[in-house]
Amino acid sequence: MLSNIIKFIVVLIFFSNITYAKQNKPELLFYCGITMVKPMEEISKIIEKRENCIIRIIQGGSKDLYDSLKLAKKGDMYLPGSDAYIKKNKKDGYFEKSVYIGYNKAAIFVQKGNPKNIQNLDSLLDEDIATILCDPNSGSIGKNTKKVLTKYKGKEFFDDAFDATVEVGTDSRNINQALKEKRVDMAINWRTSGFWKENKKYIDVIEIDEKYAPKKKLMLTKLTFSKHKKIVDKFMQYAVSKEGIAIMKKYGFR
Amino acid sequence: MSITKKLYFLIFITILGFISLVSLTHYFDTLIHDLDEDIQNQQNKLLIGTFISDDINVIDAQFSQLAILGNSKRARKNLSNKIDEVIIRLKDSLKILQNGGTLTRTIKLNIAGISSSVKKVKYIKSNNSAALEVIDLLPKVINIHQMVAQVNTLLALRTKYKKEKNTKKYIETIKKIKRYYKTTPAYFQRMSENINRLLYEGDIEYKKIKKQICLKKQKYFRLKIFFISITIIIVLILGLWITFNINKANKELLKLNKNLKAQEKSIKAILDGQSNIVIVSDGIRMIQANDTIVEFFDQFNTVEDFTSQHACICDFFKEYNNDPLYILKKDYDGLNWLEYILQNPHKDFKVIMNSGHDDHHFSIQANKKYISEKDFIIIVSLNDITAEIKSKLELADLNNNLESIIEAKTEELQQLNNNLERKIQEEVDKNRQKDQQMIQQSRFAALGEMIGNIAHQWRQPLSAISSTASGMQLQLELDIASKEEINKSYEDIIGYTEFLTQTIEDFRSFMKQDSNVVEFDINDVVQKAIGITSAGFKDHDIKLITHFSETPLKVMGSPSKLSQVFLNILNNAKDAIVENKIDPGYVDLITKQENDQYIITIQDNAGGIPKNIIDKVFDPYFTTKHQSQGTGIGLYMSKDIVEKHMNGIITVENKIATIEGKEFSGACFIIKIPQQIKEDV
Repeated sequence: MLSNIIKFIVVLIFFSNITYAKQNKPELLFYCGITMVKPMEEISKIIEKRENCIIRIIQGGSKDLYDSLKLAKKGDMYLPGSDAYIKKNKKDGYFEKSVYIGYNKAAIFVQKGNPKNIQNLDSLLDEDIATILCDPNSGSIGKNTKKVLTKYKGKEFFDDAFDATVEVGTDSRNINQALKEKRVDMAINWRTSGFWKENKKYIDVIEIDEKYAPKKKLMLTKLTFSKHKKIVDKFMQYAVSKEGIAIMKKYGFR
Repeated sequence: MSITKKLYFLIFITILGFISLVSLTHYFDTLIHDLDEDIQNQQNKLLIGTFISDDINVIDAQFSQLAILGNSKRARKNLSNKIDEVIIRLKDSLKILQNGGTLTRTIKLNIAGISSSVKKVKYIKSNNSAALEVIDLLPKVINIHQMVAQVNTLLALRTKYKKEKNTKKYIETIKKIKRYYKTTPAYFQRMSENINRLLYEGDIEYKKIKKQICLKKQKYFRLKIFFISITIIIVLILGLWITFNINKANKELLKLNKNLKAQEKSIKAILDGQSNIVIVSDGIRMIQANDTIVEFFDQFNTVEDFTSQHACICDFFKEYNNDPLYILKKDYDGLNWLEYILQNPHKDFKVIMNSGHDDHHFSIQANKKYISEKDFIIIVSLNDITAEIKSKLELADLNNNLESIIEAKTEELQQLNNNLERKIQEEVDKNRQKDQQMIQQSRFAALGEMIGNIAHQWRQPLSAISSTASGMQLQLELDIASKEEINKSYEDIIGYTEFLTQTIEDFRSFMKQDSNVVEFDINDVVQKAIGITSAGFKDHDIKLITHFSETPLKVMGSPSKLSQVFLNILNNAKDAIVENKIDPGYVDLITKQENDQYIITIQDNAGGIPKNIIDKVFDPYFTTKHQSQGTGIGLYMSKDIVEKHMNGIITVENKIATIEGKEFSGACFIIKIPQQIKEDV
């Protein structure tokens, strides 16, 4: 009887300790642009294992993410789809250290086989072609699209193209989704996502000249209010290591 | 453990078991209740998520209405206010999701008499994890204010440019509004996606928790059943064990009671077996008494009769000649009679009681025995000493005649004493006479020995005289005898006769009773004894080996008596050697001084004295010799002379001695004489 009670107590203590241990694992918040979620999840799993921590990824448009971290004032890392967000918001003082882990480049996305024979950005104004562009105030690709189109043929071209869209997206993922669901024929999106397994059988990627669509740096940034800076450092170290680079390469960011 | 303690223990175990069962049930019920609460909490979270989703849809709809109905200022304001209300609700919901709390939501109803109902949803934040949906949604919700403001501005401009009929600006503004509204579906879609994620993840979490809780509930139920069973079994086992022990103890108690009754009977029997009256008291009242009490008092049939009428035997104590040793039922300086007896244990207290016929005297004794630390009993013993008292009284009467009786008896004794002295004297005289006879016998025996020795001594010179005289006679008959030869023969004969004379002198001096105490050398006495016995030794080829001390062994005493001792021992040795036909016979004689003692040992090689008689050789009239040879007096006398006259000791033992390189066994007489003999010897 006594030994059973003792065993029961030991088991209870054991399980409560496990629960306690689970509860007490350091938890990191990672604001990650939706395009880079896949490689970042892969790296996160490795770091979680190594550092015995939990990394929770908040994914979305880069601007939305920045607005969230700015309001919440909590979190550990931020990875926007373009370094423009880092540069623009640096003055707010929430960024501590950034490392370059890869790049994004905008490209024209069309239906597989390019049935509408789209060749360049001018097709955005073609009335027979249904297009989708990302909201410049939401995702990084929206902001970059505005830059590319403005650089291509000026602000008016961008406004016309924007007015001509049948849908406005918030991030790269719902742009791809619109293409996959054949709601649209053409889009501008981050080129890497066009080659992913789940997308490439629906989408063809048409390159945009680099003079209009330059490579946008992906800067993994440590946030000043991070409570787990050592783990963040470990994450960053891994992301720039050979293994990290290999992962980024696998998803087309290198 | 006593039965009472065991009973208490049983009750304690039962209560403990009951409490354990209740506690266990309560504990597991609480655990299950907590799990149910977890499920409810998750459901509430999902409900809040649904509220948020509904609110986003409401804002989306109202935001769209703003473009359609926003021509008038009032319409814009009303719609903006409505949107603001929803934003506040949204913020409240998000706040509850972030921190936990109770969300109060008023639901508008279109029922007669009931315009709305209030729903309260309680959500407990179970961990410190960040609420991602809140982080996602909150900035977007806040941003709606700006969006509404921007749209209101654009709508106001549109109205203004329309009124001003500024077509260009009007068209531009419409484009801007259109462009602006183009982004809003994506915006609200994004918000919906965010909250849908909450609903999706919440639903997964809910299912996960439900599954976990179901498993936990099963586990808790099994554990509960297990612990309750264990508790019941333990309580039952302990209960049975204690009951068994109580039963066992009860049986033992019954047995003990039985034994106790038997013991009581036994004690009563022991008490009843006492001829004296024995009372057991607690110091005040009589507890027990033996039957002797009712045998003494005629008026009572049983002890119970007595105790029912008298708490104390002291009721019967009577006064006797004002004798303070006779105890009465009274106060003895603050002590009752029992305490008084106990305080004076060395006094011979008595009581006098009337049996119904006559008075009896009793000696009374009391002993206090503690049966526990506090409790005690007093055992009172009353011995009937009436006969003794009477005897004493009679003795006092007799004492008066005792002196005359003693005088008569003394005279008788005196007479007897006188006769006794005379008889003793007569016996002493008889003994002396006997001793004299013995000494005489001894002397005669010695004389006999002496004559034998003289015969031996004389045989050779007489033979020589005879042969010399015969030779001289033959020479004279043959006329061949010369004068010188005749003179020579005469001289020889004279020499032989002188030797004979000397021998007679020697024997005479030996036989002389020198009662005077003189100083003499023991060695001389030994030499003379050897001289007397030497002829006998020669006859039987017995070799006498002597080792005399170099210094004289001077003592005071009678030399003739001592020589009788040596003569006796030497003759015995010779007789033993002859009788046992020992050839060659040896007698080894040693005189020496050791410390303050002179020691003379005479050892023969005749084989020794048989063990069964060696202790008797000094007894009078004990002899191993033929009746014609021994009297049994010699060694007795020798012992008498050595011990009484020389103050020494004589012992005999069988010993192996080495004589002339050969080992022989024989009797060895050891005479030890102290150097200083008492003067009165």
